[in-house]
Amino acid sequence: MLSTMSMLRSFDELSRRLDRAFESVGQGVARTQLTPALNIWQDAETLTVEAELPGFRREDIEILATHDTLTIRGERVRHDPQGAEAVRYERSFGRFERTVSFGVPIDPDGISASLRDGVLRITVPKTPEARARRIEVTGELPAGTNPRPAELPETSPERAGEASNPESSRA
Amino acid sequence: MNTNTTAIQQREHAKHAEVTYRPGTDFIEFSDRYEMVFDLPGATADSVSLTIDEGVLTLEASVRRDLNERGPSGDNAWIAREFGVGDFRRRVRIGEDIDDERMTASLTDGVLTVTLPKRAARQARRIEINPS
Repeated sequence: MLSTMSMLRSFDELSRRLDRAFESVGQGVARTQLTPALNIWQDAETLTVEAELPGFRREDIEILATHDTLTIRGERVRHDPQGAEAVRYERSFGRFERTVSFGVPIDPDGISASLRDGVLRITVPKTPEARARRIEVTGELPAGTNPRPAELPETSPERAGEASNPESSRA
Repeated sequence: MNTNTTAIQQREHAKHAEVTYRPGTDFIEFSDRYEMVFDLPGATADSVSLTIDEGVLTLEASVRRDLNERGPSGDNAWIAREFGVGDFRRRVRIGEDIDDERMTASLTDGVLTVTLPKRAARQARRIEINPS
């Protein structure tokens, strides 16, 4: 019967064999964490959250929302390969949970999510009160008249920016 | 479309494009083959390339998140930006017992599995004894 030490040693030898079979070459920013990286952006009506969840299936992911937060929970289960002689694992498995606090009220019932190619995309509608609104600038009004949008010249500040920044307009 | 914002996004793009991500990789040895498993979130089959040159396997995946199409287009649109438009790249020198001509790969849910058969000479074989 093998002692624990000799079992460890033999496993260690197998790992070294894998190291010899696959020697890493080159550099880069290592990406092995389980807790997903997030990209979050917004427009006037919607917040969008993207999470990197490679190897997750829909049923592995749970999304919870309150009036201004979103929580993503998940679990990635490692299925140990049948008949493996040696393994060297860098990928992370297990449970994670991340909560995002938006700081603006959201509509939890309007949230939708899709999972594609290992990227989860969640669309979160803002409540009507939280939506950005464009406020028209009005001219000076004579007393008693209804407010009307002021007649602004065609050139907006953005267009002025374009003219003064030829590099950006080339794109 | 706000032109000034476009300029900012292009700078962001350039900044992130300098980053090359080294994907987490599992290495598994079986009696007849090796398997390598890479996490490549966002990658599609046509964005992944696998090449072998002088015993070095190079995996490259270009995950372009087009900012105008998929991402924000207005002022202050980004709230958090934890992953960018960087490419995935990993180079591994592979052992001589690998038959790289029979290498296969499949991509599912952002996970790439590469199967590298060992050369036939290295496999234990059962030899049938025929009755005379």
